Amino acid sequence: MLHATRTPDGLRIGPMPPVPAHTALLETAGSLLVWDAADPVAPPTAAVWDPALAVDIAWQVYGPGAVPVFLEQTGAFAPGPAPALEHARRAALATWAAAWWPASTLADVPPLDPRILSVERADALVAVEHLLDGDELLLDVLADGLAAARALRLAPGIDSAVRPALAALGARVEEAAADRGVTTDSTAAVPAREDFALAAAARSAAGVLAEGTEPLDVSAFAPGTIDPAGSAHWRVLPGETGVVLEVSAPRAPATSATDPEPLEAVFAGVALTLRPERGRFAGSVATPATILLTPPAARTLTLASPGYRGRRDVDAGALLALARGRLDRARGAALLETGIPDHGVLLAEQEAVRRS
Amino acid sequence: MTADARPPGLAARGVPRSLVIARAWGRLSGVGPLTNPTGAPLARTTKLLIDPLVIRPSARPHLAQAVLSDESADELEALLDAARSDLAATAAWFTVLKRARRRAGITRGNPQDLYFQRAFELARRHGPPPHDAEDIAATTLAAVHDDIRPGLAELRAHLSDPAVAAHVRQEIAEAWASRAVPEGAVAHDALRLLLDSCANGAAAGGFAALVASRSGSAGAPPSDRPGAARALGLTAKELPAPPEPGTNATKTTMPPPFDRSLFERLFASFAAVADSGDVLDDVVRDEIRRTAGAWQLTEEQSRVVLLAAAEASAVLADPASEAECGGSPAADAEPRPAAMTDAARRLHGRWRREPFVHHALRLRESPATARGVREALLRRLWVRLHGRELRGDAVQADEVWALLDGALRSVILDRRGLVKASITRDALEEAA
Repeated sequence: MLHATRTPDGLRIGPMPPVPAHTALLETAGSLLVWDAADPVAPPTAAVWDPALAVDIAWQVYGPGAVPVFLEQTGAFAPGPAPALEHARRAALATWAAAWWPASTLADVPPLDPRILSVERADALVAVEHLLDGDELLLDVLADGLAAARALRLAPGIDSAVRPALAALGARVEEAAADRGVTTDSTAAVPAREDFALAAAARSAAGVLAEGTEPLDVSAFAPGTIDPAGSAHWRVLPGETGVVLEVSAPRAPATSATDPEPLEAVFAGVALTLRPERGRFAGSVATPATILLTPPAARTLTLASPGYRGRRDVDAGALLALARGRLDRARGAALLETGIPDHGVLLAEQEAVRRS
Repeated sequence: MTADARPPGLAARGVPRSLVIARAWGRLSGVGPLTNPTGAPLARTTKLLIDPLVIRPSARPHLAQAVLSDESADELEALLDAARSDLAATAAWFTVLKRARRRAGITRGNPQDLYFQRAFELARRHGPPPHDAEDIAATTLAAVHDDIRPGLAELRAHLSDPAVAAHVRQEIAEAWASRAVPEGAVAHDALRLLLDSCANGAAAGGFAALVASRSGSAGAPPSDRPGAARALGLTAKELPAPPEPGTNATKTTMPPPFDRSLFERLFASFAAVADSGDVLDDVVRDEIRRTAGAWQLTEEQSRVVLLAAAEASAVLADPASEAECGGSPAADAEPRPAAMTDAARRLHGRWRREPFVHHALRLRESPATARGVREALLRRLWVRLHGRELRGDAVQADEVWALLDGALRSVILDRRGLVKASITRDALEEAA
């Protein structure tokens, strides 16, 4: 049963939403729907700010039994079959995966192909267009999905078993884009796949004056940047005049050869930039030898993508476990020619398990 | 709306209107091209066909409610059932029109927006597509995409003509020299009524009273008060200056609305100019008159919407700019109401949800994208209202809330996009 709770902004349906890294959301007219990516078969919670608009969500996402609760703004209901539920969930999960999928070489979580995610998201949003909060988002997502669909048509390296499903998705997205006058001039908007970046070779530890590791705060990085199973590593080496501070962090595997943005690091008050290399981000800076006098408590390393600040609210282990669970479900789900897998699985996940 | 209050118009019992429509729609055959993958009508099928052409809520307001009584549900289903042949033929005609569009290599515009109602007209006139349907479709498309219209090149050439430019400058000077200070005062009670009711579909009374009292004009930033229009984000200047004729514009470097040349103003909404069918001389003359008016708009309805937006969006103002302008134009004459209006609460609610969404989408955090929201909203709204004036599409009372909320939603989505793309804000703003 899902209970309705009055809030200062309107109404909440169901329990509090999950932590941000597990939050798969869909912005609809009058409400915000949230699925837990770790439990996608469970019904979504809803933050309703306009019950008059959200009445349409009630029956199309929760089933007709939810309507009286939305109208009375109190009570409970058992979610039932609902025509838009599957597409709404798929749109939310594809959005979540694009933001939070924890691709990891160290933990053996393969990256998802952003082009497939983009086509899946567009296809799912088209199906729930009548529930969305305005039409700008769909038009933007369709333009991305159209470019991705075209790029995927000739893309190498995709399992032949996945191709019919991808073709069906792509055809639907192309048709939906044409029906709405969405065009794209570029087929290169989504980068082509290349070999995954390899883990960097270990370097000699000779001459290291000091070194340490620092856990990575996943919330401080842009999607697809760092390997969430790894740690940042710093060390101080002899230099020509003073010493050299080196900092590195493991890079997330990706299906694209495009380099992510550099990272910004500060160690004991010394700032440096970590540039993407094969399998890692790394940077170094010459610094006075007095850095070696920094007391252990002050030998802290902060590391982030530009524009991100660590919130320390992401449990990397839980996120990796979530991804493994989803990949297990993807392995067990039938590969359907519609391109719409059952049980809250994404086609991008089915493609990833066949690739890895 | 408080947590304890049910919104006006939302009945405690009944059937959601969308459920009634979907149920009836599911019984129709041959409407696949107008149907979405959940089996319901496409969003634009409802907006452009079912509502205005089949249900006609203006004639049957009891069928416009979000929740219908059983009797109203039966009536609505009967209307859709009676239109089954027209709708099936409309679907077939839409397919024929799309095919003709592809054949003609047309890419301009949204086919659903452009062709749905044409397809319905063809369905009413011809029934299902006959043997010469392709010819009829080609003729229809030629009418829809009539290219005998002024283009940007013609506008640029027109304003580049030294004689025209000189004359235009003179007309601008005259129009600005004879600007009148709006008389009267803002009808505060009506303004509050509008802002408390517009999101609940009950804007008619307040809107009509504000238009009749010319409150939109009275509440415009005074043209002689330094900083008044700048505080609302409509100009970068202390006092707006008369526009130049101009012959160039780029979407990436568009100045605030009041600082745009005539060419830039018309460029930003050129589709509307092209669709108006007016000759360029008239378009330019109208624009000159517009620049000299309150809010640099012509229609009182547009001015009322901007006044309402400025009032409701005061809650989104940065602390600094709020201090500079005193919160809202209406507040210049009367202290700001202690309690927020419903519209202000809703706009504020949308903005307050943004950090949660932002974090869940794992977007970059940029202090710049959190500033100037109110000003961006008003600029976006001005552009939309200006475009509507160019099309001769006067704002109706029941559109006020959609305009206010839509402008904020658009600003928020743009800022998410800009945060993702990591490029500087304001570059693309209001260029849409």
